Amino acid sequence: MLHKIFKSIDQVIKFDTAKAHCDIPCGIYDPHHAQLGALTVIRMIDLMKGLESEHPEKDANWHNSMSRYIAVKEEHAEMVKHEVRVIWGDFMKPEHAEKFPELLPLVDKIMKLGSKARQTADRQMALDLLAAVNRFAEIFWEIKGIPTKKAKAPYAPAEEVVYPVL
Amino acid sequence: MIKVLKIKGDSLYPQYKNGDFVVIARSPFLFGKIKIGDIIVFQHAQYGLMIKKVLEIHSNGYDVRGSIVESVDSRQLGLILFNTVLGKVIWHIRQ
Repeated sequence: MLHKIFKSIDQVIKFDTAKAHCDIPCGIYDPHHAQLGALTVIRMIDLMKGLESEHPEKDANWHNSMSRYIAVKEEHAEMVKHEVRVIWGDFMKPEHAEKFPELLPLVDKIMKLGSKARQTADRQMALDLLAAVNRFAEIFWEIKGIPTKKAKAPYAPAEEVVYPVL
Repeated sequence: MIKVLKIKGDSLYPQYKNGDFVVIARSPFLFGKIKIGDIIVFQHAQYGLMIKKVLEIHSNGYDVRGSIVESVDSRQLGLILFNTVLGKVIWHIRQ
């Protein structure tokens, strides 16, 4: 009732606004895209190696497929870096870095592994990237106060991923 | 002496929601000095009028916080200087 009265007055005289400001988009952060990116890097390396062993004849189709796998690997390795940078820069605060001393070296590790994922076709390196991103996701959800579980992704490459338990 | 303001944003959610109204006292004598836990309104050079909760009081300003982790507050803004504070909330008109 009171709010309706104030709202009606506001429509006429327009009260000043006091900003209860938060970063935009307000609260919409999720490491899921980074995890998908890391999984995709592994999947593309698997497809590249499969193509190499199963189709030794390097015709135009071979080159076409290989180029596409490499392009997708490039794109998703960069997506991992971008998504982690946004959460690190916009969501995480100094007190989170204090509470989790491994955060800063972990972010640095993800940046470097993300670059390696573009430079090479090393599957173990891609698995290391996923492990680092999974740990980053665990910390993210712990900050949000949401428990997590580990489960194998229900699609190739079926590697273990950290999921929030909602 | 008093001023009505409309809240924009959700950094004080769930206590204060986007669209709520507040009445602030601009004189410290009528409603007491600002203390820890008070909701204050202050002028910021970049963001304009802001509303936050007082977490600590230092000799050179207030350490303010929002209620949610994404809040932009003293963690980014630093201490809020006393002379930038317009007043504290004395009445909250909820939706």
